[in-house]
Amino acid sequence: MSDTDRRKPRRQSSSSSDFSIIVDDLQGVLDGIPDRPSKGLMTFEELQAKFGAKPKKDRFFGLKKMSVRYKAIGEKLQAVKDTLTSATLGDIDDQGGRQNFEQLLNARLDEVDDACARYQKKHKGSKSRAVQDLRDDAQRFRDEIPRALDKLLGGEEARLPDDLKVDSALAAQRAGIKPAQMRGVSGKHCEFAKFNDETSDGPPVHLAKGNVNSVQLVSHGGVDRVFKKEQQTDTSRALAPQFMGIDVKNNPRYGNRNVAGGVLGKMLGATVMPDSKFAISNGEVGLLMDKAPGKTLQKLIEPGDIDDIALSPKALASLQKQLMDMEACDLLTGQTDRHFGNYMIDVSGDSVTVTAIDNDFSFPDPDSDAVNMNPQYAEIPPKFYGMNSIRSLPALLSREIAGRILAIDFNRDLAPEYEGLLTEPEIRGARARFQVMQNHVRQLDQNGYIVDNWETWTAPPPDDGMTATAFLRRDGAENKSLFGRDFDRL
Amino acid sequence: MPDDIAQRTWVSRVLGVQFASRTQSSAFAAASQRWQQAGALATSDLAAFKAALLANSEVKADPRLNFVAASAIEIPNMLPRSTFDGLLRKGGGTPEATAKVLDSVASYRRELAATVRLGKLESFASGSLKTPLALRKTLTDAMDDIETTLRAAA
Repeated sequence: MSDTDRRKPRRQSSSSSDFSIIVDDLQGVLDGIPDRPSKGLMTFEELQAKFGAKPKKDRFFGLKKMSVRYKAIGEKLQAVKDTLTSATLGDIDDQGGRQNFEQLLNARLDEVDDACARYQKKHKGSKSRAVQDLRDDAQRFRDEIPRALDKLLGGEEARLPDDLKVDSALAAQRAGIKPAQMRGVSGKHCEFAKFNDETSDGPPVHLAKGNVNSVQLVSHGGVDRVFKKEQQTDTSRALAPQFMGIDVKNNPRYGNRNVAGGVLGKMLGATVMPDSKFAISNGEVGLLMDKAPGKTLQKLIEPGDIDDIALSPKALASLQKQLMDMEACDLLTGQTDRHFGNYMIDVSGDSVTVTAIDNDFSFPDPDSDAVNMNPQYAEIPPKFYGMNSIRSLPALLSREIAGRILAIDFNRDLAPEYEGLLTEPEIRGARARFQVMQNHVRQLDQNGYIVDNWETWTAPPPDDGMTATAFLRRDGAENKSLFGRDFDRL
Repeated sequence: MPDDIAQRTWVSRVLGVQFASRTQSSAFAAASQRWQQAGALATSDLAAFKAALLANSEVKADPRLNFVAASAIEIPNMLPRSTFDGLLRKGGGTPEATAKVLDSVASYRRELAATVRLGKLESFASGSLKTPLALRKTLTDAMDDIETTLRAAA
């Protein structure tokens, strides 16, 4: 067989031949005919499960290569995956984009097939059969791509967002996600191919219900995460979002606000802000967050009292540092709902983990009527009835986060990251808060309120000699720090 | 209708009543027959298409056959309904009635052209099923004939 012949699309594999192309075509003519059940390309992990063994590690400091052919298959599969994640729907809809994309993808699939063929030359039996399954699956996937792209790029009806990566778009298509479900969701922050019902370990489990949302626990590859369905409307009648100019009726974009908070946290190196992305669970699009360890402070004090927990000096210092990190993030995101049920605490010996949860009420719109008509809503931080976050600028900050805040150029570093997640006025508001915070950090540093060591730090005059604990809890500090407000007797 | 020519002329002149000419009446009858013939052909083509679809070996083997069979019930209803066949059957043959039918034919032409689904059905029949279906041509040819007949008789 010539090289050209071998690279021609082949007939469908037996695994998908039960489903007729004619019936697929008929979907465009008659209503009510479902899609053929489909799935993503077999992963290297799935192949390893069929093999019953992982590739062997190289020996003698890498001088003796092991499982070379087996590993080559994994590398080629990764190249296919990279191709699918490197292009967005918008990219392939550009003139010539689709043709280039399909050529590249087919070339990558050819490489998978070649790597499999090389493996089969040397190995027979069950392992060869497992590799043959992969070859068949790659062929099935190759056959399905043109039709799948036709549907994704179909011009007559509303379609999935242009900034959605192709692998996420294909996963959304397989899950039956409709364009309307993507309203208010930033396409570039969707990781549908990685986190969906096909890749989850089991069905989602109900975890908790808040004022606005209920959340589920979902697990992928043994890692638990929290899923919150994206709400197109907020019917909670909460006042805070209305005071912040969030469009509660039509498009609150709470998921985007949470992701933007995670983006900021990552840039500041603040582990208190959970990493968030969009995923598919139970046929719904929603926010997927790392599961925070521990309990909310609210739950922690229910059975007894957090005051009863004896924190070591190191743990106390870590708690204070992270609470102040969270205050800084809340101020920068315009978060207005940091009550004691909206952050988690986990204590294990000297180690404390604080995690901000429910970052929905953040990134207010400075152009909204509510903010414009009430000058105190536009203050930094804002002041209104029901505002549950700290109402002043952070009293102390750690050297690490202070350094990062000063090092960031908002327009260069943060604004591009916020694009797609926030509106222009929301980004403008974030820029104003960032400038205020940078000035504040410079003043704190000048006056000795940047903390290098939370265990040993003492306040400068006039509070000369006060420890961090005493300073954060000083008179009138109830609204000046989370530690003073929520841990007043610790 | 009064038979006597003098009587018809008097009624027409004095009472302002327009009588259909014999030529126009027979044109209406011919046009109605032509349309019924085209409609019957289109309906039988659709029935044949439905039968061919459900008999297709690939379709029969597809696990979604039940869905196809359920959806195929709608196939006979895919043709837009015309109003001019009713007008033709009612007869008349006056210039006003002729104009009304011609308007109605023009409107049906537009509706037929705008029915995207019918075009998709024809493409599917000739492409995927390899059994060409010329519904729009059948109906358009009939409308051409009807217009020619009515205009010639006017």
